Amino acid sequence: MSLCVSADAGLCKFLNRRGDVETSFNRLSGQAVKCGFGLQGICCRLCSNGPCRITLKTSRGVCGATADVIVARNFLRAVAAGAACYLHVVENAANVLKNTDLPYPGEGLLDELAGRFGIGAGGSKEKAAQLAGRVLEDLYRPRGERMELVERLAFPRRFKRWEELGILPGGAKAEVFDALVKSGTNLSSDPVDMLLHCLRLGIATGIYGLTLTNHINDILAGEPEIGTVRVGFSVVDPGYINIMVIGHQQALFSALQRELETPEAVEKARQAGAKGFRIVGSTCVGQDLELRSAREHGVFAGHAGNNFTSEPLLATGGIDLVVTEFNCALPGIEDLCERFRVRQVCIDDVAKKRNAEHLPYDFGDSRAFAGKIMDAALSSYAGRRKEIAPDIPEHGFDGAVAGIGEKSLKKFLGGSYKPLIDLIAGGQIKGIAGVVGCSNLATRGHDVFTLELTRELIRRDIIVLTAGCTSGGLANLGMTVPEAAEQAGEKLKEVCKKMGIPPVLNFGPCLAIGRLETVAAEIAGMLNVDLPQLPLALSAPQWLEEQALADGAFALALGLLIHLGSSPFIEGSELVTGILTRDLEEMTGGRVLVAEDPTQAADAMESHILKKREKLGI
Amino acid sequence: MGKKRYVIIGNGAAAIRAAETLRALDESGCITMVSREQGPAYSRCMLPAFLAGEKNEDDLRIRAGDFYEKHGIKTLFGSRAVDVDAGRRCVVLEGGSRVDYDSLLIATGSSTAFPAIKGLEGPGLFGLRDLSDARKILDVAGRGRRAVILGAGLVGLEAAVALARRGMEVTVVEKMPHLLPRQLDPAAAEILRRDLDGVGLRMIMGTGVQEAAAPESSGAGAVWDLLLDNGEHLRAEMVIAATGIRPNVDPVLGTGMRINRGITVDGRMRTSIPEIYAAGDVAETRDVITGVRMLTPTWLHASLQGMIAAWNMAGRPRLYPEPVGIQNVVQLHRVPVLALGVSNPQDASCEVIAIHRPAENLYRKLVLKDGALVGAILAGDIRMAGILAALMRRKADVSGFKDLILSGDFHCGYLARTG
Amino acid sequence: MCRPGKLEGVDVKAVMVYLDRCYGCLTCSLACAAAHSASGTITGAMRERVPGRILVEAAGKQPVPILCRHCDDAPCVNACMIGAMQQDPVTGLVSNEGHTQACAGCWMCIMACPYGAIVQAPRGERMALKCDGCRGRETPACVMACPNGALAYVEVDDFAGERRLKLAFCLAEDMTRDSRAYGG
Repeated sequence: MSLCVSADAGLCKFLNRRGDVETSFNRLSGQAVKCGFGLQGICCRLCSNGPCRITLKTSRGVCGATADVIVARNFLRAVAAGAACYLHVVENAANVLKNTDLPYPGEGLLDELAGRFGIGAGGSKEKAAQLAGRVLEDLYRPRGERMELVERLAFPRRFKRWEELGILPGGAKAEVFDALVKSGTNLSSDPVDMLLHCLRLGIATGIYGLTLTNHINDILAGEPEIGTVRVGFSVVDPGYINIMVIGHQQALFSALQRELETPEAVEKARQAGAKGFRIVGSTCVGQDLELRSAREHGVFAGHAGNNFTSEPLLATGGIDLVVTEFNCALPGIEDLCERFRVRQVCIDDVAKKRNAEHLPYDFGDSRAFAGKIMDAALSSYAGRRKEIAPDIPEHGFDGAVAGIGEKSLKKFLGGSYKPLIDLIAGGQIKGIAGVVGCSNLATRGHDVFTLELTRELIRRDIIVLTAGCTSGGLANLGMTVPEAAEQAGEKLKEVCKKMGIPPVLNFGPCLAIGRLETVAAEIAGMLNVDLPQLPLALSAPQWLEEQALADGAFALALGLLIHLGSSPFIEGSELVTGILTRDLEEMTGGRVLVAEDPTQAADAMESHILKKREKLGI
Repeated sequence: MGKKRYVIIGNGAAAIRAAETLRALDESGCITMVSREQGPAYSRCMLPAFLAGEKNEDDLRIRAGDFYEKHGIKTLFGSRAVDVDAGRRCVVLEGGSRVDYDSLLIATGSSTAFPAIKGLEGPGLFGLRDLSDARKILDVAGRGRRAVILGAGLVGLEAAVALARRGMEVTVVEKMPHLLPRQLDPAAAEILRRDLDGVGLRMIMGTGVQEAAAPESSGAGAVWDLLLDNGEHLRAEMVIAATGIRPNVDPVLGTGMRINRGITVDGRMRTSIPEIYAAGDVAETRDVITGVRMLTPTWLHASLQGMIAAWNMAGRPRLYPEPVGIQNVVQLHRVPVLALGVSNPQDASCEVIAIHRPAENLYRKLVLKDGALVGAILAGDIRMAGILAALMRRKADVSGFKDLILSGDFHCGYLARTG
Repeated sequence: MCRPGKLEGVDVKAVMVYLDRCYGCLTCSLACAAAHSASGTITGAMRERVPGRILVEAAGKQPVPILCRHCDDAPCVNACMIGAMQQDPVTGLVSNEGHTQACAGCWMCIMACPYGAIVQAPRGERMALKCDGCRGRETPACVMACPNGALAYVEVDDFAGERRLKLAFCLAEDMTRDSRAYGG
């Protein structure tokens, strides 16, 4: 077995030392041969005349579908699936809010949103229930009815543009549903219409799946506050009963967090021989927990790492229970859990593991539910620690800056984005890059592209905002500690040192891509320009899955440049590639840029930013 | 000129390959094969399988039954060549008869070199070089239950495993500290040793035999008594010596031919005497890696040398492509193990890189000198062996991708060119 | 070097690889497995766990089909110590099947093949597996299956053809890992 590279030397060292453990890193080389038809998106399995492929010899499938049709159908299905994922998350969050009793740590935000949504007087509980109801109502609307909250949350100039283009989404779930219908066998064969549908799904994803999920989580668990945290495997303390959480739905953990902190819980842990319980963050939900506990960590041990560090994390033996509620719950964790005798509990069957016990989240009695999780952790701990000795490597960083959100950043800047705008206008900061999304192994290695691109960007005095597995990776690589400023260009370095900030600002989970949009909208609002005019570029250098494509569709609807480190399986169609990478800019202002080299990607993002600066006259 | 007379002394890998190549190149020439052994050509390398009872004598044949007839080859089997009269260009057989040649190939192979140990002589002591050895071993194996093998080289271990498969109690005694000392290093040898745990051999390493007491008779109950350097006594009904070989150069000793350890040949397999060629275990060639002249007693080299000799004998000059001298692969139980070239470098300027995962029975060791691969050991995963041997032979600079080779992901696709 | 026993007037064909047309879809390998399975179908071959004898490996991003070149004076033939690996004097096909002697799985041929085109049979069986040229088929299954024409079954009876093959698939001495160097 051979090992794939990671930018994380400590992780590589650990994996090399544990040659007896099989993870995704080992399996990558076995999948090194990539099917060119799949890569180009020109394989169609929609009917029994297939699978059909567009080859050098044949330009159409049996049904007559061209490469353009096949690529567009495949792409729409992927975006629809990704949108569905985020919509599932917001649906659950709204249901938790509806069923949660006072107090709400984010009550201020609740009031603010109630005002914005026109929710009248009433107690906080009533407001929360109504707000949740309004979200759910929109999600469940038929496709012919526009969702109401879009207008209330979207940047006004964008909303207008979307209305002109006719891409305002109907009910979000119905949009997903009809995307599946449309891309079915011998239904739509209009690539352009299917791409427009992607934009509608992107808007639904962004406003609901991202922004509203963040808002609801902020109400339930409190708004982010800036602080410094420890990250990496070293957050695992074998003295505790460690519960590793995998997923994207912090709302499902609020009750558990509260329950594990009670003296009764601590006593139970003590009786089992541990100091107490700890929640160990892994994947995006760990980032969410970190985001809201940068000041007060409570039972949250810290964030251990992103998607592809979850398997190695299990191999440390320091984890006693795995709770999955969403992706990225790699199938590979099943065998590792068996090997390291870690009990698995799945609380949302969309992330069901073969050998996990299904304990569905109880919206009605979240306390009792939390008790069940605690009991599972206790029994797993008692059984496994006799046989498995934790082997936790020195890994990660201390003093990583976390807890950055649209409001905490504003507060940090003195209550307004003006200082940031001034720095950009003055040229000390050339522009803003959002380096977001996933990590993968195939695009140069785990976190490798992300790190190389980020370094290239900050060297050019472009400040990097990050959200998703990119931020988990960059944090574990030491890019979010203030000392990382040394790697920035002279001007950005000076800014960072003066303000005591790193050149890479960690906004947390991929859901926080919605927060980046809010930051951009605030800046654009102050400048009285539209989003596409900002010196801002996005990159999802190591995008992994369909959700990332739905995020990307949102970015395109917002009118932003979005770089991808590998093609989203569209290159088999000149039409689709042409629209997404070129022609769309005329419509929304956004476009896709595929660059497989970090320096080239940084060059392109920088030149985009410079062009925007020039147009703004700064 | 009439039909050319080709004479081949030998009937092994080199001889057979030479004969069939000669026939392909020269349809009308007279080909005569002389061999002290009776019967058609067989695979010496498969003798262990014969010992183990997995193959019968017919299974050992390396060519179809009508091979000699079909290729128009005259066979003088059961005739020992005792001398070569280079002046009169004839081979002298035991009994005095002569066979004239225009072109002669010496492919006489090698014999067991019995170690010089006090008392090591008598019934029940065998080598394992030919079918008659194997038959004699089987004869004793039918009566006895214990065997001692001297030497944990390839022949010794294969014989040991074969006899163990027959249900015998087998003890292997090796002077050097690990198995296959000429090919492997301690790490690879340890993987092999653990693999052999599944066979049930006793192995005594780092110890030689001080003295041997032969049995009184060769009948039932005759038992050897070996006193080891460590003071232990081993008793067994048979002893197999597998500590070395001796090229069969006897027929040409009187010719004045240049002989070092074996018959020295040039790049066209020519000996120092005109129209006499040599190939196989008896020949000594130059190693492409070390530049040193050496014996290459493996099937692969013997075949290739026989083939090259034949081209030159037929008047079609062709050079020996100088494959890597040491190339051995063996799978005694479940784990294949392979050694190429200088696998245990003494030269401090060599760079050694390795991956060692004993739990997976995986070992991969590369030896580089000046950027080129000069040696390798593979255990467990041998897929890359042929490519590595080719890179070694070409002395290709692999410094740019040695880690890729070490990872096990290297393949010849990296060397492909569109044309 | 031409094969000594080659007959005049007999077309000797070989599989030519056009690297720039290979998309790495593995269809050739599946078709090969099917052709060597009892069922004769791709799904049947998967069920029977029959491996493909044409490999597709990735050199960087360039997929490279790796298959036996059926060399004249093949190293694997010389290496075979049981006489199982032989070259057919008429068709030029090199195979360790269909001869008097059965393959013993000694792996000498694997050690000898500079292309790495011979593999061990799965599940510990002592048998070396390699392309047998799909004897009995007019065109090998892999060539028939390739959707992009990356594999072609062409005559190699002239010098030019042979030279092309070597160029297309040679052990170069100035190799680099850079995938861009491999064309396609």
